[in-house]
Amino acid sequence: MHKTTALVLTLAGALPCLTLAGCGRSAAAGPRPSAEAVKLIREKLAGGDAAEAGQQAAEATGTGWGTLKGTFKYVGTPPAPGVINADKDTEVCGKEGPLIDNSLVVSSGGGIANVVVYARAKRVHDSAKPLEAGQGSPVIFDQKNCMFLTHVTAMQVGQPLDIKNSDPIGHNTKIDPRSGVPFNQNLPTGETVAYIPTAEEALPAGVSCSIHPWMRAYLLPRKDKYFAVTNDDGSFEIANLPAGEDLEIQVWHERGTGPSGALVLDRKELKWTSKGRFKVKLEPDVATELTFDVPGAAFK
Amino acid sequence: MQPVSVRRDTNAASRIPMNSKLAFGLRILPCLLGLALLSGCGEAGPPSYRLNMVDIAKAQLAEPQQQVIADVLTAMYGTPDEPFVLPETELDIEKLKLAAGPVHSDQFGKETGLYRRHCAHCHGTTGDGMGPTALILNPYPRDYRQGKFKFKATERAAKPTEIDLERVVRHGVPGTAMPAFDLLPDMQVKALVEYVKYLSLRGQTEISLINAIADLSEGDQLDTSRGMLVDEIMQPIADSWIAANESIINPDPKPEVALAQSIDQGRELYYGAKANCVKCHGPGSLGDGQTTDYDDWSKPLFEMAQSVASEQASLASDTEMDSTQRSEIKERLAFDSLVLKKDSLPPRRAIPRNLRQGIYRGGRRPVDVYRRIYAGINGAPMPGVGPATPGATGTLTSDEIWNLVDYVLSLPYEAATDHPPQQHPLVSQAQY
Repeated sequence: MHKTTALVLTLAGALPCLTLAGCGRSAAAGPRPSAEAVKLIREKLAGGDAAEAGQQAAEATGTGWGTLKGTFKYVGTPPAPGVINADKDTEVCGKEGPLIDNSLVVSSGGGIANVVVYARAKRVHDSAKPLEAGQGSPVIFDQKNCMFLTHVTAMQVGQPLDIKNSDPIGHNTKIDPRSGVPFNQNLPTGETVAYIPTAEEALPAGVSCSIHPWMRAYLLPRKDKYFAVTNDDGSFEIANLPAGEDLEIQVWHERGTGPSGALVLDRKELKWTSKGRFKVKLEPDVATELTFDVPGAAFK
Repeated sequence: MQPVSVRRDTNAASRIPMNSKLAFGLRILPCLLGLALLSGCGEAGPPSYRLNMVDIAKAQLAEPQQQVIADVLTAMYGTPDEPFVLPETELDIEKLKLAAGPVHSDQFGKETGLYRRHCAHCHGTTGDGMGPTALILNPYPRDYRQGKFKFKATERAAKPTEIDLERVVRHGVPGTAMPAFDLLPDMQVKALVEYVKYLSLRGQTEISLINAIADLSEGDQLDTSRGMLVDEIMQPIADSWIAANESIINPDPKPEVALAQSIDQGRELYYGAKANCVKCHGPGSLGDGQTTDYDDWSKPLFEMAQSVASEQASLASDTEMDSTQRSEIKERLAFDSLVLKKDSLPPRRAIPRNLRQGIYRGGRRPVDVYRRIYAGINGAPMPGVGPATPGATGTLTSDEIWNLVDYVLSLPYEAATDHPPQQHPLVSQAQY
């Protein structure tokens, strides 16, 4: 009898312990709100603090304009690109040989293509000013043999992206921006459909085709014209950047290990951060050239 | 962590000989311990909203930044028991109060806690589609936080109207676990719709906050002024809800052709390379074409799981990496895995609708099917064929969309053998 009671009690003791495992808040549920902080923020929200609303980013301090040039080089032997299992519409998709995975394209000289480099500038040169909607020249975005012909595209907000289909079969193009308007249109053979980004993105948005799920591209709309995508030899150039002041540059690659593909390098002299950004001070009327050696570990 | 250490105590206690008063004391010790821990386990207080840990993990936000998100969201939207909204949201706090809080009815029969009574067990207290029953449902309950709704009368990217949401609550979603709540009084349905809008606005605000913090430069703090939180972050989302009625798709009148002819034209389009329906819905319209894609809720989870797996593999094969870097990556991957396991549902593929079943999730009226084809289905792989932006031309004309509507609505009544796909001239040029 005593033993049974003991057993029951032990079990009763274990029960809440067991229920603990399923107890609401998960281990990764994050912090709970702090009552004091909540009160403070709510007061601010109710106060209509007009003075604070005008708060601006730090003032620009430099003068003149400079150019940033650079090259991204792969350190060591890059992994051989895989072959895509293109199992839909094989008569068209595999017509010119197997489709090759282009998520990491390294040239014979070690240059890394499709790295996006863009500035968060406080001053903007006239040649890089934001555009009105539909003002800029159209950017062609084509697809053939079930691959997007441009893997990474950077463009200005307001420029039309002319999405073409050069395949004898139908596609659809799905763009999933975080700030802008999502897009998913059917794209018949030979047709062109325009997409005009309405908002700047902090990081490139994914572009895909739902019919052929291996089709993947990236699109970065920015307000100003301070962006570049590296060429096949890994080089890029951005002109007319504000000189004489600390300039923050974001670097992104599809397979970067930072948040959402930010490319993280160990470059302390450039104050390279875990968000894939570095700082540089350009000289006016001079091209500053940098070389970026990227180890394999910087890629997923 | 806690459950593990507690279980260890239990085991330790059970190994002690049970023949003394001390042993009895030790035996109830785990009981007391368990109770003490239980009270500190987070469920002692009123229910709270869960943070969007998936997006937080993707943006790699540190704990102090998570704290800011929790604080700001609570300041802007209150708690599950005490909802709060800023006047700029144009949400009706009286309706929200009917829907919020614990399930309750007063002596006059006035019911509150409607959301927890009718919705939360599937859609979750936070509206993240992760209620206790979510895992066993297919499709999963809607996660409102992305602000994306599928079955609505508006343009693809636009929010649903109030009438759209009311229709879903009243009639349910055929072919899913979403039941019809048509027996609820009108006021209660309206209160629930308001609450869904509130949870969605809250969830989308959270995502915008996460993005804004992720976008900050190293060492910068989020500006928590009204200008930032309300004007920059919340207002654009609130405005999209307020403007939903301006984006209703009003089809041109149906062309006056014989139904049989319209169905034939619709069939041509279905199999042709212009409308492309066959690619996903399949040659027999059984929804067995493209079945390997994911919707906007599952796809980020699938991609995150894939990237964790590939990083783990390359970590294992990389022998040159120094130990600090290795442990940093390991820690991040462990956190990502934990979040995927605890704060998300396993990703599921988006299966195109089987058009022969005659079940239409977004409604069976011709105008409902028209709007599905015109705008596509927001959040799903289904693309639109109408104009992508106002003023543009679509890839199909209004008449062609009506032909497709007629064809789609005829499919449940057509024997699958009437039009064997292999005999169709347009099908042979491509494989599926």
